[in-house]
Amino acid sequence: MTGLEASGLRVELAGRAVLHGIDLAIADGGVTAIIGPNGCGKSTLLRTFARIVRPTEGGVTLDGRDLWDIDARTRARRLGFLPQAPQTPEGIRVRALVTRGRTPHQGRFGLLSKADHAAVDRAIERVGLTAFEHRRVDRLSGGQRQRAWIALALAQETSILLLDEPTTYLDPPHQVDVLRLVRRLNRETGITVVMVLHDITLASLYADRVIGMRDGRLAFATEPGERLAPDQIETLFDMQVHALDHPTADRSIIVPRD
Amino acid sequence: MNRALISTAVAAATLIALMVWRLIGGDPAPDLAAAFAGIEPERAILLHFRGPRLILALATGAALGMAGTVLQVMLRNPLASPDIIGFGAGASTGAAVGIVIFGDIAAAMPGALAGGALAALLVMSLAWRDGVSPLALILVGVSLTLILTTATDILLSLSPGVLATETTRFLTGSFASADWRTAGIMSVTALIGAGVLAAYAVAVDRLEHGDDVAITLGLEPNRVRLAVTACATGLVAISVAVAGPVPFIAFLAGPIARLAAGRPGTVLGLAALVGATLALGADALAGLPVAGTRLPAGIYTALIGAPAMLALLLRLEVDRK
Repeated sequence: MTGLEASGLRVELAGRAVLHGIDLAIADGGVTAIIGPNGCGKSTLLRTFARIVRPTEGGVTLDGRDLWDIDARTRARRLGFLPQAPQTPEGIRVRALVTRGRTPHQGRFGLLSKADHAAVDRAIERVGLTAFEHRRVDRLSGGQRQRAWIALALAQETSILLLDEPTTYLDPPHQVDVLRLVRRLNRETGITVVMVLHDITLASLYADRVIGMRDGRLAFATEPGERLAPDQIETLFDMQVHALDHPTADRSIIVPRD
Repeated sequence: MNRALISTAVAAATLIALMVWRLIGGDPAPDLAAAFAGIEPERAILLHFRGPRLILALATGAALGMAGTVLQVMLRNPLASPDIIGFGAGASTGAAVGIVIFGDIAAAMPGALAGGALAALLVMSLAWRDGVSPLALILVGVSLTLILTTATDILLSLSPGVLATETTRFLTGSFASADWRTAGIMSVTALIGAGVLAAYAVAVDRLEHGDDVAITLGLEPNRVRLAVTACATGLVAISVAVAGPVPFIAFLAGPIARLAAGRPGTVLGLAALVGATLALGADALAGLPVAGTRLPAGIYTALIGAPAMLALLLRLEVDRK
């Protein structure tokens, strides 16, 4: 099959078991959100998909091949990943940052082709930062900085993009802004998105499919387009919730019971 | 207009002016007409003294500039240049041990290479905390430098007078005793180093974003670190073997180049130019009489470098607050 697939995935970090046997296939073309309590292993699962954390047992395949057997550059043209807090060197400009997304396409000495420049232009335009491309990244607002990083991932021109809590450190309007952008990019370019999110309602609103994790195991996985049910959330968080109807979208809004 | 390009042009122009001056200027200025007519000693002065001295300073400066900038960027720390984190001290001590044990100045080269490699290995492994910890790196490097300096002093005190004098003279960074052999060795070293580091510069720049991003971009951080550390250590060790330790060029070149270019990253070519300019400038000063004597180039680079290091430390302190 195409896409990412974990089977019998176990991961230990510093001798402690973090993931206990995960089987999960990510189909191409959708937006998937992974939610769960702190320490449930959701970030570790994403980082294992990104080939940063090495499985202790089982494995992850990309297009049917073991992720760890694929040549690094080939993998980097297929699979993008944005960590939760990537380091931004002091003084780097937006365009220079986004250009770094071209690394797996560039030649040995870093020479850029016309196609590279065009991809960078497109990526910057897609996230709406064209007017800011010569600004210093460290002087942008949090929301704009996140857009610049998403543009880097877009310039990489992968067909799968993994996002680790892309809304951390952002205030509510900017959280929505980033998730709208992610969904729009998915609809326009067909890029497959898998993201770890903290906020249940945002996950419910902006993901086609929600995966719940608890204690290093999958608790539930909705079908694409299926609404979240209250009992699913209750299995994750030990709290009683209501699922309300969103006024305009066919999605659930989860609120705690009083 | 591209600021990096302008800076590179300015640095190149400065360097060329210095080169011309070092070759045909100074007091007394060589009689060029006589030199080209093959009249001695004018010809010999140009060909056997000024020529190799110029090339040695140029190649050493460029090599140190490149080694410094790649380590600073790779380790994400402006203080992480080889002359501060102990690689240079390792090479110096190694060279001194070589000279004293074998009683021959020719043993400086293998000694410097072995000492530099050992110091690099020791510093990197002691500073490794799931990645190189910036603070541990500086502390380990500075401690190692102190230990090695003391060890060298002990070694010199215990060795016979003539040998000790020769070694002491060697351990004062200077281009004054250049000949075509040392100039040739250093030029080839700098050219090979430039080729290898240019191929790794793209990867080194991406390591600044952290290993997660580097891996995502299809790089292999540990392989890059190993290759770049080995290459930078080789450049530093060989420069120590042919010119003795010339402090602070490796430390200064990168920050000056980044400031001039107005962007972060290795800016390898510009750093090489700045390093060469610093070395040549220091050597030009070394040619001037001070209180009836001449001071070696290393003294002048230290005079510029030490206050610059202090300024950088104070700035880092301000940034943290």
